[in-house]
Amino acid sequence: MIQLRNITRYYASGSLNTYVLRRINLDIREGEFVCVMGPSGAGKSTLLNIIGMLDDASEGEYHFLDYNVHNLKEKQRSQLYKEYIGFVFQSYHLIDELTVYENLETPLLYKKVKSSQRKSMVCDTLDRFQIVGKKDLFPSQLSGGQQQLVGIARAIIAEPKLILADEPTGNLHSEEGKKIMELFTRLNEEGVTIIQATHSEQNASYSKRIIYLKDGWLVDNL
Amino acid sequence: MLRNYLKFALRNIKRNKGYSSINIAGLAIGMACCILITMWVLEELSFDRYHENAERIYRVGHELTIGGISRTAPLVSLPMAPAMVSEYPEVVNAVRFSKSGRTSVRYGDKVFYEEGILFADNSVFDIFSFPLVEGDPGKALTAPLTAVLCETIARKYFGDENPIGKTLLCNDNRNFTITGVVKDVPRNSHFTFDILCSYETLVKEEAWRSEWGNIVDYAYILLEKNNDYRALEAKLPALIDKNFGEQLQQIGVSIKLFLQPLTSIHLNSHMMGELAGNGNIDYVYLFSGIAVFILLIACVNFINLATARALGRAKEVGMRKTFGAVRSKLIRQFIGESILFSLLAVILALLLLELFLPLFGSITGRELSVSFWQLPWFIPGLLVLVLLVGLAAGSYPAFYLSSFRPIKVLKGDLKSGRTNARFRSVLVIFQFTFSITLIAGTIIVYNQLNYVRSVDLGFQQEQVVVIPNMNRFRLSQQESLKNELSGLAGVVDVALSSGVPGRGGSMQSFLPEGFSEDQSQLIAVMKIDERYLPAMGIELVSGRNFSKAIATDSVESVIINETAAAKFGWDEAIGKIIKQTNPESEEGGYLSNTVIGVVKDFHLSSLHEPVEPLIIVNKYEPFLETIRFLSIRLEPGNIRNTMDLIANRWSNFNSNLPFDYFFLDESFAKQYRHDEQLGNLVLSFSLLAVLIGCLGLLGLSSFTAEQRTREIAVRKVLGASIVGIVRLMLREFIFLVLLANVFAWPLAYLIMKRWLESFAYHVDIGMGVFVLTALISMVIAVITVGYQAVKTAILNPVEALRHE
Ligand SMILES: Nc1ncnc2c1ncn2[C@@H]1O[C@H](COP(=O)(O)OP(=O)(O)O)[C@@H](O)[C@H]1O
Ligand SMILES: [Mg+2]
Repeated sequence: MIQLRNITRYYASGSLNTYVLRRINLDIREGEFVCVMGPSGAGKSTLLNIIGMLDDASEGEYHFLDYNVHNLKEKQRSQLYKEYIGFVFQSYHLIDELTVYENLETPLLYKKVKSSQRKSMVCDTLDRFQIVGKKDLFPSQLSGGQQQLVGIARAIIAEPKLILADEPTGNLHSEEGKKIMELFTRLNEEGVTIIQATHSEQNASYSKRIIYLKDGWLVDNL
Repeated sequence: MLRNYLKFALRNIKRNKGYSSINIAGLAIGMACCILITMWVLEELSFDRYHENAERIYRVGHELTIGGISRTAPLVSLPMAPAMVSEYPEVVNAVRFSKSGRTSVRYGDKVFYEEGILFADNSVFDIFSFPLVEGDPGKALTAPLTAVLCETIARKYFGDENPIGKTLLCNDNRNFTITGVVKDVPRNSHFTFDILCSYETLVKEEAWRSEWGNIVDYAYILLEKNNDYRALEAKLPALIDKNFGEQLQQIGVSIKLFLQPLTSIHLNSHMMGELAGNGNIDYVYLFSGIAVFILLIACVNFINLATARALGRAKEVGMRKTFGAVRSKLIRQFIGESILFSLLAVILALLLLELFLPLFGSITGRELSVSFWQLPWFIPGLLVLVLLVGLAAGSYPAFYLSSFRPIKVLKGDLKSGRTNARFRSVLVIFQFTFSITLIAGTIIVYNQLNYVRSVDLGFQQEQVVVIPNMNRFRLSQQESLKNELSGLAGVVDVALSSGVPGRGGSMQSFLPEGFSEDQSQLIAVMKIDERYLPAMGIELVSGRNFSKAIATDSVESVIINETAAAKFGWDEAIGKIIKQTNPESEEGGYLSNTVIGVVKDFHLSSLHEPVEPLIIVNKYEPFLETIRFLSIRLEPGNIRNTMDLIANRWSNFNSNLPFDYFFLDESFAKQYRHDEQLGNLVLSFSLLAVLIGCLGLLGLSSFTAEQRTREIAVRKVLGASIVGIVRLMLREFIFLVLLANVFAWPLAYLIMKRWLESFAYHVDIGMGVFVLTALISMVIAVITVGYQAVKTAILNPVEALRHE
């Protein structure tokens, strides 16, 4: 599903380049549950962003499914987001002006799902995450854990093949984190590919494959 | 999808109440101004177009050249128009008008003074679209002493009675039989009337009019379809030549006829003797410009606030993009939002209009009474306005906001870019340049109006009551009224004259000493009695006033003004001879007049006009000029009492006519009515422009204050004083306003110089105006921004920092 070849990412700072990722080679197959680990500043987020096509590699090649990501136009990327990818962020990034219900509905709007079907999909998801009672609340009225729950619900509602989660439990206490991880495990069992960045060993233990990053190098690929 | 966006947008508006209300209020005020001005402009442009034949009707005017000086007037003589119809096949029809002055009109015991009486040929109904409600348009005005009334006037005199066949007595000497009732003349007409009397009356009763040289009437001709009036115009010199070329040559005068398309008269014709005060195409341009700029200022507010607040939307944009939203979709969403703002604003604008339309009417002196909802273009026009404003205000923010990349949002490295701050500064300067130009313009207009009111006119205009229409009384009656009034307590002096400053006056041709026979001069004449100069406080610079004791004074003595003396090149004017063609003499003989005095120049017309050479005569019978006014100088104080006494004497003198009078100073000031209206309008619009600009500044400053809260707190912790911080926050805005001043000054100077040039006498635009403008704009900016600055500066730093 994902093939990274010699992916390098650097930032031009003055005459020197600051390297964040160095010649990363990585293959991820459909259905995997991958965890990217490493100390803060190692380049985890950068790697996830490149995989999620939010950021571009400075060098190297990236194939997502049958697409050469480097050559994709904005429209095509948007198409891939719609069809295949769900994002989960450390700071949730729910849209503050929308209720829980509407936050979940929004990705479906862009996917042009019909109104009646949209309604049933949102209701199913609310049900599944046991947040039906919260559907008319705004993000500011929820606790961190609840917000992240909504964040994940939003990421999976459009039935993506791939979920990219950057430190999804970073702002949560361990009890809440555990719940989220169990959720991921279940999703993975249903066939969704999951890539999460974390520096918590405990979280990593849920995944089937762990990748270590250090100073931009991929040091261990189990 | 649309419903979701709508819900989202409305919720956004509700959440950011301050931001939204500033935006909507600004747009609404701008739109209200724009709608108002558009309605006014459209009305100005619509003048006379309601006539079915509007495009084929032309007014005939003439240009008279004498002694190298030309004058144009929209006047012709009685035979000219009929001659054009018979001579040129392309002239299908013609109508002549003659304006009647203030006339007393009597029906039974009802008597009123009417200003709106026109004599007209019956063809008026064929050429113009004045539909008759009663009567036969084919012959209503064909007979002498017939009249057609407007509906309102018919009701005024006859109530519910049928006026047809009844008679109205005009000036107590002519009985007109009513032969028709016509619909009231629409307001958008360059001339209006209340009563049309048959022109045949004049043809029959005033033989002198049939002379080709007595150019005192108006004429409009109807051309065949698709006829070039310029071609006809080129043929007209031949007509003049054929009919009285010889006569003209003898007296050294040349006359050229010209044609004016009916539809261009209202905005483009400004001659002496227009049928009514016309509009001004310059004002149409000026106010259209103001409308566009005020709307732009409001749009700029929107742009500024939207981009300043962009960070608030960045996360949303980033997230929507990760859901697969393409940029064009986001652009559409944002433009949709701004159109929603625009829509809400237009609703508020209509409310504002409803509230302020009467006020606008009283400022402009013209009611925009047309209920605008009834206009067919109104709703579509509003929709176009909504879309235009939505696009103008929303496009840039939409492109800007939709450009956020999710990665930036995620990394939190969205600083509101320097380029954007600079862009906003440019926009603020643009807004203030315009507002400041208007402020400077307002100051200059009021300076000039003040000057016009306080300048020495060369006569004392206060406490003078004038009784018009003296020409309907015989000489002996005039004298006896004058004597009777002089004796009253509170009356200082009483004098008779043919004209008074601001009214009346005519020109005649004279041959001053030292000029050859083909150099006769067209000069203004005024006829007065021996009391007029002292009563009005007009000073003699040399020679003497007329005297009753000297018999020749009423026959051949004249007084001239300084300008006349200068024009004739006379150092010593006393004793000089001014000759004049004798209208009684068949073979062009002359009458001689001797100059007995020179008066200091005084203003007979408004300060728009330069003082013209003037020849003042005593009661000189062969002149056409007749005594028409009785001026009474009153003692200051207790004027009401004196007026009662005068009114009382009037009713003894003539119990038939109501006492009709005006105050000289008020009547003279009326000449500046249009200038005052302009001043009020510019003032109103500059206030509104400033208000909109300030709303924007307020929004922007509270936004920057919010952004800088932490910085300010740190500065305070480091020991900065409150004053220092306020100054820091004010500095950038003050700088922008100063810069805007620099741009606005030359702009205001150029525009206002052009306006001032419409006055022969005007103030100079000094530095003072601009210093004052700068001060005003500074104070406004400091007050607007200062509130936020102080609020931020006095905030406890601990509180600001704790939020981190
Ligand atoms: N715009 C940038 N310019 C320069 N360096 C950057 C930029 N963005 C990120 N970095 C650097 O890239 C490195 C990797 O960041 P990141 O991928 O967020 O690490 P992680 O998620 O593993 O903590 C960091 O050292 C950071 O300083
Ligand atoms: Mg990270």
